[in-house]
Amino acid sequence: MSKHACELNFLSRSDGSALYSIGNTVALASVNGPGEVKKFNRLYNRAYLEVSYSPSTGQSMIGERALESVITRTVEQVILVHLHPRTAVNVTIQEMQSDGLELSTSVNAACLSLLDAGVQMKSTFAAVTCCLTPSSTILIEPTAAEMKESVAVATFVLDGQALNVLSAHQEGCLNAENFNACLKACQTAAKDVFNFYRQALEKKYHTCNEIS
Amino acid sequence: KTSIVSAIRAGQRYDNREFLEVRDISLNFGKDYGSCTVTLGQTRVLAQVTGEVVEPRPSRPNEGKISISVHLSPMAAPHFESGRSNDLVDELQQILERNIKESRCLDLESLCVLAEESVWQLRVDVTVLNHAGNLGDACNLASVAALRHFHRPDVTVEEDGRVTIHTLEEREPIPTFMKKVPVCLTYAFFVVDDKCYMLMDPSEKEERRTGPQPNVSHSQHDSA
Repeated sequence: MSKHACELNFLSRSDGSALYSIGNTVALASVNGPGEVKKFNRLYNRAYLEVSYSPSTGQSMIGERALESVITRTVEQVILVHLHPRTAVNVTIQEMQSDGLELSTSVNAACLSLLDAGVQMKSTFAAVTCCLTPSSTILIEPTAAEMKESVAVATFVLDGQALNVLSAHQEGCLNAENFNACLKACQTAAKDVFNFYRQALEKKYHTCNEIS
Repeated sequence: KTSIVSAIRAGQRYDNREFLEVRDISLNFGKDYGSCTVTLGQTRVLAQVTGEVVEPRPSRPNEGKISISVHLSPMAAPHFESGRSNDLVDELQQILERNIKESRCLDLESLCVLAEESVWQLRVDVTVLNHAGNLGDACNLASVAALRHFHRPDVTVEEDGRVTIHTLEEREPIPTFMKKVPVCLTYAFFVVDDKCYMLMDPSEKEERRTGPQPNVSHSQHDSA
């Protein structure tokens, strides 16, 4: 598994932010909300969730919109949206450096920035990417070069309580047996990711305690 | 607002800096060439430089091209919206174009591969991540640092005119050469009790109190 690193509260003007990196892929997520919502988006019984993803170069195109919709649908399941009707929660993700793991880095950054902002959620969530090489080995968190050589790439977003699948994104050809093997491998790896989240937040609250 | 003014009257700034003191600056470079994140106090700006080989402008067949674009990310400040252009973006874009393009600090002729056919086009994407004042200086710093960090892939031109672009592993990439380095300094002017005070590197609260401020761009050989 690649090395995870994170810095919380990176941006002073956002309610919560996290600079997250998996290996050489780095993403910065920022959360603002629950707050004002445009009349157009106002929902009478829940908060409106908006996710926007910007690549490091060039214009935002279809690929980015697809990523946004995957992240929105995942995060919507977890945030307690019914607690804040007629408000909006904005999650903005900026790709800082890319080595193939954009989806999982962005999702993990989003989770930590929501925790940093204090938005109420049912559980934490973590994304783990794995790929199946032609020799049928499963590699967790591969580099872009390893992904290019692989037969299939799968990303699972798992919840923190029971490691259930919140969303799955898969490209390539996987038979049922390999799919389940990938899922099991990702679930095992996810436990390490949740431990990492815990450490990151303990560090944040530890320094807060020291100041007070 | 009034507390900022009363602090100035007393000869201080609300964040305990001297009038002409700049906040701490740190530069972080990414793994890829041409990526730089600048932290100026709490203001954070990311600049990413990429290059591709394109056809040159017909009026300038042996000069490369450089394009700069500024994005204000919605994370920079709660009232920013992605996609909509606004005055601040135009202002920042103008500052960067003046400093980098019009000052001719980059030797565009060195970006030529084959006259009239292929030249390098460098694209600088500047994204404002956190707005805590003085975006002009931060964007300038980020773009210049990213340009100096950027290395372009080596190319060979065959006899029949074909251009081969080598990967970074095959051949050492070439650094960008800057003839002069543009430095941007922003000041805020406060008129208090008929006296004019000049503050350097205004923070966001100070910027909101004063109107548009002038900035001076200077390079080693001449001023612009």
